[in-house]
Amino acid sequence: MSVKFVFGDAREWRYIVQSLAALIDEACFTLSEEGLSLRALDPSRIAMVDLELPNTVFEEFECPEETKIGVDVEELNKILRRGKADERVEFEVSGGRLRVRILGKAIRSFSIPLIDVVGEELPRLRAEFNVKARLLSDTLKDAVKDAEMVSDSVKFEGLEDYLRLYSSSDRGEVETIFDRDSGALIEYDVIEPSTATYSISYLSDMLKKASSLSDVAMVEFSTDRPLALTFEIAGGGKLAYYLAPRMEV
Amino acid sequence: MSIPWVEKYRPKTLKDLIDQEEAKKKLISWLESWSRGKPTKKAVLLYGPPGSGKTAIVHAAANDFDLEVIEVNASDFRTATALERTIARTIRERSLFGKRGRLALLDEVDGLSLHQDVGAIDAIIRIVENSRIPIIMTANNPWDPRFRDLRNISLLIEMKKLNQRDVITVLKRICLKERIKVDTNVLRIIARRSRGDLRAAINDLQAIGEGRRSIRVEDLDVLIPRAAQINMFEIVRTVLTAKTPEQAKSVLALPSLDYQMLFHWINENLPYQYSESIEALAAAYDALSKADMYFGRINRTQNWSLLPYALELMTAGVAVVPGKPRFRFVKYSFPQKLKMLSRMRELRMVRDSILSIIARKCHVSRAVANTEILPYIKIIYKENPEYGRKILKWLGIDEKRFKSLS
Repeated sequence: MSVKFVFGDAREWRYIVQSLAALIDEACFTLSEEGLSLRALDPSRIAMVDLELPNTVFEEFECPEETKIGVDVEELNKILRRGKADERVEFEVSGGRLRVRILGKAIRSFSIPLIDVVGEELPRLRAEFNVKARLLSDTLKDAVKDAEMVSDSVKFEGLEDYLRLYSSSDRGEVETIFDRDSGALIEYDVIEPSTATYSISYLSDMLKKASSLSDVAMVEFSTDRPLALTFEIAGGGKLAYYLAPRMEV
Repeated sequence: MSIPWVEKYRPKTLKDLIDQEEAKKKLISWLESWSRGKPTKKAVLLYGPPGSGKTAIVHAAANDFDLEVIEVNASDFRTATALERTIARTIRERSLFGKRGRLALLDEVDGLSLHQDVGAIDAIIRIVENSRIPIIMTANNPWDPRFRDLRNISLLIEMKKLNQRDVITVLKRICLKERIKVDTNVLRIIARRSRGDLRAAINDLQAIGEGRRSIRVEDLDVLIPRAAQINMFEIVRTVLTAKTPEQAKSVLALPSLDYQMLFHWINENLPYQYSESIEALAAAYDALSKADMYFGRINRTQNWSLLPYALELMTAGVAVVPGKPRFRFVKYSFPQKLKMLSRMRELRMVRDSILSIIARKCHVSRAVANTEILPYIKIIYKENPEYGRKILKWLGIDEKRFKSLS
């Protein structure tokens, strides 16, 4: 009995794994008939990553029963760095090892040991979001980078008509406005105007690689509640990050 | 593998935590000051002997106050960078899971060593300054000089060593829940062995009691004596009366053995124990002198891989010699060399203080006072005490202290 799945684009897998590496060192994937999933907290427990890849994302997917596989994210990342966009990548689990084959002009095989990752039962997030915005992931990435020039945190303000990212310190003030007219906001839905502040170092880690996964990012938050940042993956998958808000003084 | 009982029966609330009323009260009022707004100190340094419940009290209090605990161990914060990664960037965030707050626990800060963990203490201090969440550190010994800065920024809370009765109470509770029939005598022995270390006691109980319906006194034999800190007299006796090299070397496994101290002790007491056989004494001193040579080389070259040879020679090498006298009880004494060194140090301090007085009064350096003035005062005092006393009085030197010099 073996678990095997093939993914069409080696480079996209690399982005997925690098997005995980932004938060965690060891990953515990859960594989079932439906597909692959992972939920993990970063070591400081203020950020969570939630990856869901249904079997439709894969070219081939074979998993007769639920299996958990633990891998060192950095090791996996090293292997996937060797893959290119037009190459396919095949994963196979057997005998306590994960075999990764990059199928291009030649077939390259790598094998790494599986590790025991204590899969912690994570409490459900009590998530009710009063602001939902779909926007271009690159513009969001730029807005966060701009904010980083003056501060280590950025305030998200979801107002009636527009979304504003604002940061300030002794060094200055930076703001970015996303509104419907400029085309930066693809969808915008406000149940109740909200503001919350988040750590830039986490946001930029999350956006760095994940923005290559999808052109569009979904941002959701409520006043002083966690932020959800979701990227859709072609074929029906999604990668979501959750980040705790910062306490303001 | 089953869950360790220490985890399974870790107190869920402060009420379940045995004893430590003083510490509980202090911790509660400190956490309450956080929820009211500004606490006077942002960090707590929780100290006490192993197994007194330092980690347990933090988790129990966090439960009571609905706080999420971010726990880092000494091994996770060896360097400033490691600290940045784990907690420095999270001390201003709220809980992701909607808990009322968060709390950072830096467990066993005394695991830090000053030489290797450069900057770690400074990093902790910076973290405490910037933190918007309560920070609790635990340590066995907070009086270490390198923790001075940490002590200054922290509220110190002491966890007392648990007494035998408390340990027995907890063990009884666990036996009841595990449905194990056990005699109080058995628990008393376990408790005594633990020396107030509740974690050790619970581990021992699990080792002998898990999966059984009852424990008898005989079952305790499986527990090997815990390598506790025993005093130097016992250590020296173990080495000098050992019958096999292994017995003599067993002392090296003791936690926090001061081998340099042991060297002096053996050096001092060898003749008492081996007095009946000159050959044995010679052979033992031969081994000890070789150990000393190794220590010298280690000091000179800093080649610490030589240490095992030195240790082996000064224990097994000393213990196993031809013609070793039969065991007899002798009284050991504290190394004369160390006594002398400390006496000399005291003398030096007295002399230095007298020299400073002379130097100030006569406007000379202390070196000049030492060579040009002090010797003559000594002579004058000896030949003509009356006149000498006058000089001392003028200088403002206490006569008694001066006399202790000669």
